[in-house]
Order: sequence, then structure tokens, then C-alpha cells
Amino acid sequence: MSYEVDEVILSDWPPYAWPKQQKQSVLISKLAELDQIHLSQCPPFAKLKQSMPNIDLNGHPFSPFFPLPVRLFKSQELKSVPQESIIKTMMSSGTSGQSVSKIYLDKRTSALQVKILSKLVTHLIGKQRLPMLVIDCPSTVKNRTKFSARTAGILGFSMYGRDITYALNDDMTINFDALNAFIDKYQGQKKFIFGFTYIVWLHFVEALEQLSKKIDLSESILLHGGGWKKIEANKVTKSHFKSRLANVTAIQSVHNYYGMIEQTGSIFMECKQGHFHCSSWSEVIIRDFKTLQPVKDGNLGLIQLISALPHSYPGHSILSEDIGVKLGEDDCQCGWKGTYFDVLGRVKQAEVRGCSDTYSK
Amino acid sequence: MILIPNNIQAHFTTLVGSSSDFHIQPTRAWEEQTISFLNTLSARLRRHPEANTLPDLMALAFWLRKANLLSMKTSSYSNRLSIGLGLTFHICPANVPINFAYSLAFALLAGNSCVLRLSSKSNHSTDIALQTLSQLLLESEYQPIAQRVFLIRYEHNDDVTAFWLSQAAGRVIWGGDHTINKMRQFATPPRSREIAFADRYSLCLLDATYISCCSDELINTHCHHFYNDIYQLDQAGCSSPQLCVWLGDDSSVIEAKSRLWQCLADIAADKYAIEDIQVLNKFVDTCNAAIDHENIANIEIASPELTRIEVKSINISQQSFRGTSGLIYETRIKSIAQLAPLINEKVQTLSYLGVEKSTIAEFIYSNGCSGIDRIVPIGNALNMHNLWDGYDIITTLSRIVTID
Repeated sequence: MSYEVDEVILSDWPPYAWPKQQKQSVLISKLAELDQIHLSQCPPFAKLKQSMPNIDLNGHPFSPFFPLPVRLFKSQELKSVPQESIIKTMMSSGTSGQSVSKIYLDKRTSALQVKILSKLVTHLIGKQRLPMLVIDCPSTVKNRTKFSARTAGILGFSMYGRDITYALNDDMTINFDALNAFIDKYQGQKKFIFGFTYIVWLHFVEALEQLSKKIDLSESILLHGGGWKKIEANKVTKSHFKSRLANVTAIQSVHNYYGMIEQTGSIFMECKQGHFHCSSWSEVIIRDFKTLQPVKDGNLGLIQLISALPHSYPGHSILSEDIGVKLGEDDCQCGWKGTYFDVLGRVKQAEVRGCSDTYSK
Repeated sequence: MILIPNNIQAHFTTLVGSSSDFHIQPTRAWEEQTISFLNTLSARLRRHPEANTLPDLMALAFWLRKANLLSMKTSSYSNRLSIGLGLTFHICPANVPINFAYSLAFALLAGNSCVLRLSSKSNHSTDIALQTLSQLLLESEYQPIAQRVFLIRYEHNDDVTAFWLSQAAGRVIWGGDHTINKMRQFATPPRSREIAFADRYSLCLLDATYISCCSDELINTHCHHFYNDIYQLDQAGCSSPQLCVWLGDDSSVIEAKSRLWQCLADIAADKYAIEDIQVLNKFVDTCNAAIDHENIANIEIASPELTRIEVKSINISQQSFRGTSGLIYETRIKSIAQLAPLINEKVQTLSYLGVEKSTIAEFIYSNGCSGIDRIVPIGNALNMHNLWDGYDIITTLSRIVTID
């Protein structure tokens, strides 16, 4: 098994330490290797690469890596390993309704995802397992028939905590007994809190506000992600989120993360400055909405996400439907190296015109 | 009069008309008063201060003119002693909201009373059309017509649909294969007639030698027509071309292509306000085609507005490859006979440039084609007409009385 060698090397990369030149050369050579794997092992990917024109007119260091639209994971069966090697198929409803995305994982990719995610989380919260509070209800993980991104997220992040306590009852009300017991037990100690953005907001922050209750979760670090658009519709901004959260819980350290199920593991952590950061295993390219060309830093565009992890499916370079802006590289005040950026929502759906089926919808 | 049970009445909203005044007695087809009413509606729509900024509303107003209606009358078989069927029920399309007005006009001209289920989606043009229509129907001289018009909206509700279909002497279903199948599950009176607009496929045929000989000015004119066919409904209309077939030898096709596409791309860049999601959707469709199509020669993303996919040859599977917002498939043939493997009953409109229409008609007859209902010069692909999808809509919605 020759790959074990490079896997050790890959998972030993320092998360946020390499300067631009070094990171680019390492990541590009890894991606070239992934591209070769997928070209030879995934016929639809090979056909795509062979038929599609090179879309980058001016060239970009990552131009050779085709920005595969994420929606293709719904319409195409994209896998680069034989069926018998697949240990897990992740599904997501993704961006546009009816059909689901299918992401095929083999042992190697799955293990890599766990390792790299661990590297990124421990970089943030430290290597020691902390008492952990999950802002969700226990049935989300108990009911495995409804295995969702929420279930996967909670189970995935629970590996970095101990004495896992659920802050909500199954009816999504706050379980004050469990919550207060947790707070009493770990008063003055560092704690790890995880939850999905909209659940933290709707069922925790707003619920506490409505009950006019304040709790003391100081000394905690909150990691949250997913479903931001659900609360953005109510005009909740990042700073809004943080200040109202701090007001009712006294949590000061709040980190959002951004990522896609197609690139599980290589998530983009929000740094102390409030920006999403690329790690050594990931990169983003912002592409113009109209021309799809890479734009200059500071301009809005579609986010293309690069990840060194996908070996079992061609998801190493994907084009999302999210709007982002690259803010800079290697010079963030937080001290982490790498590209840092912001996400500003999703591309607006167009009004449908024409005369095909209508009543069914 | 029609009795609408309370439990049905409770589930729809009335937009225009009233159930208590509603009348289902048929009148003569092409009645003078109906034509004059539609002509007045046309004038009112044209006079609306915003009409100039709404192309779909302007097209409707233009279509409703007396002159146009009379020219349709001469081409319609119902131009003899014809009388309406009675109550017609219409399922109107969501994605071309203004189409409800055409559906209403056809059924009124045929001499029917009309119940239309409008889509819950509306747009500015539809709102103006509805408003103008309901105001006009308040005028005393149009009372007989007002009694034949009943426009409603309701969420999908099988009971309401079943009620209207059980009463309908004629039904008009816009909205594709799925909707048609769904509507056919409901019982209708034994002699009830149906006009169903199924999913269709359209293409255009371009003669390369002709295009190579055109002056720049003429190319520009043709491209403006071509632009309307492709971009006016984002290519999502059933009569918008999906495939361009070039007729000619290698060198003339190469020359014609470069002239025509460049000119079209320039016009589209100037006139077409493409949205970000349309560019993305087109890119996704192109990637899917790159994987799924067996026969691609070349893909060119020429501009945000125009993507071209050249295919080596055509067969029936080509019909499953469709584009929107300026994603065009193209191919080259040496003689029109090579079109035959693509033609089945799904094919609706063939628009043409530089080709003799008699050549196309001859192709249809000699090959016994089960498709191609409309052969129109480019620029006319989207023009609505009483003769549509292979039949005479007004004749189908009326009863011809023979007297010997």
C-alpha cells in the first residue's frame, strides 16, 4: 500500500503555517496527483475534462484544476474507487431541491477527513478533550433513520469533547436541568460548545432572550456552522450573532466554520478576526459570476473550493453556488497564514420562464 | 348559471368575474362582439403607461388587434357555422404567466364560457393585463362577455380541479406531459374535448451558403430575429430553438458560423440582461452534457450569454439535451434528409433561414414525419397562433354545425 506514505505526509502538514509559495507548490502537486487518480479511475470525470474547454483565459496557479459544479454530484455518479471499496455514501439535499448529492467515501478518504478535521479543531480548542455542550437535542443522533448533516456534524465534532451534554430537549426547548448541571460542574473550566448556526440562534439565543434568562458559559469556545442562510433572512449579521449570544450566555470565543459535504474534513475555520481561513489542505478561488474568470482580491464572485482530501471521488476542486470575497493571503491580523475570505450568501435563483411542466411543482 | 358547491367555492379565490353571474350558454364562434371586445382590450393595453417597457404585454396587445384576429379567422376551419361548446376549463402555465390571456381569447373566440385557473406566480405584465381586463368587463356594453369569464386561483386541490373538469365541455391544459397526465385522471363529460400542450422540442435550419452571401447589414437583421427566438423566453419556450442545424459544405458552414455567432453574441451582450444564476445553470448543463452526450465535437463558452455545443451527428437522443439562456447545440448536415433521425412527435417548430419552405414541407411528406407542426422563418418561433401544435385551437373548442 504505497499511499500510506503520502498519507502520513499529508496529515502532518501544519494547518496554518506555510507561506504562500510553499503551500502552493505542495498543494498543487498533491492536486495534480488527485487529478491523475480521478482521470484514470472516474470515467465521467475524464470525459468532462476531455470535452470541456479550459475556462481560464488568463491563467491562475490553480487553473489546471477544473471547477466542477457541486450540482454534478446530484446528476452524476462520481466515484474513483470500485464499488466494493466504498464504506459510506454521504448524501445531501444540497442546493436545489429534489435530487440529492451523493459523495462516495472509501476507507482512506474517510480516515483522511477525520484526521484533518481533528487537526483543524484541535488547532482551535487545544489537544485536550474538553467538557462538551451540544446545542441540539439527543434524538438528532439517536434516531439513525434520519441520519442527516446535523447528525454527522454532531457525531464528528463530539470526538473532540468529553462528558457530552445536550442543551435541548427533543421538542427543541432548552433543557435547563441538564444545562445548569453542566454549568455548575465545569464552572471556571474551559468548555467546548458545538451547534448548528440556526439551531444555536433560534433555539438557544432567541429562546433565552424570550425567557429573559441569562446563563454563564464564560470560559467556553463555541464552534458553529451550517444553515446560516436560514437566519440571514431575518437580517442576523455576524456581529449581531456574537453580541446577542454573549449577552445571554457570556460566551466570548465564537468560531463559525464554512465547508461543504463534498469536502468534509477540510473546513474553513473562522479566525479571531472573523474571517474564514484556508488551511494547508484547502484553497479558495473567487470567480466572476458572468465570465467565471478568477477575480481580483476584494471582488465578489462564486467560491471555488480546493481540497487535498478527496481520493475516492473527484471533489478536489469544486465550484459552489455561494458568493464570496477573498480578503487577503498570509497577512491576516490573527496570525494564521493562508487565504482568508468571507461568505456572503448564495446566488439568487432566477425567475423561471418558458412553457414546460408547471402544475406538478 | 352554474352551481358551485360551497366546499369547492371555499377553496379558490376569484380574480375576475362572479360565480353568480356566470353563464355557460355558448355563442357563435368569431362573434363580432367578441372580436371588438378583444380589440378594445388590445387598445387599452397599448395605452397603458408601462406597456412600452413590458415586451410580453406589448406582444399580447399586438396579437389582440382586430386585424390579427381576422387574419386568424380566415385560416381557421371554424370560419363557418360554428358555435362554442359551453364551459371550458383552463389550466394556465406558471412560467409564461401572460399566456392565460391567449388561452382566454381562443376560448372566447370559439364561443365558450371560460374558467381559468391562473398560476399563483404572477408578474407585472400579468397584473396589468388582469387589471385592464377586469376594468373593461365592468363596462355595460361588455356584460354578455363578462358573464362568460371567470378567473380563479387556488393551491393544488384535486377536489376543485375535479369539480371543474366534471363540468367542462372543453379543457385547455398548458403545462407539459406531467400536468396532462395528471388532468386525465379526473372524470370529464363523455363528449368533453381537450387541448393539451405537451412538452415539445424545436430546432432551426440555416443554409450556410445563403448566410455567407448576406451583407453585414442583412446578417445583423437576421440575428436580431434569431435573438428574439432564442432569448425572449430564455430559450425555455417550447418553440424556442434548442438545436441549430447548418446545411451546406464544410467551408461555407465554417464561414457562416463565424459570422452569425459573432453577430448574435454581440447582440445578446447588448440586449440580454443575464442573471448570475443563469450563467451558472448554463455551466452546470454544459458539464452534464460533456459527460452524458455521446457525440460532442466541440464546446465553446463564447460569452456569458452564449455557449455552443457542436455535435458530430444527430439522432433522437439529442432531444434530451436542452439548454436555457443561450446554450445552443449545433451540427452540420449535407442534405435535409439527414434530419429524419431526429424527428418524432415531440418536434414542434422548425424555424428556417435561407432554406426554401417547400423543401422542408417536401421533407416532412416524403419521410412521413410524425413531428414538425410549424415551419416559420427565424424570428417568428415564438409567435402565438390559433393553428398551434398541429391543430386549429378555435375549431377544436367549437362545434361545427352542418346544414345541407
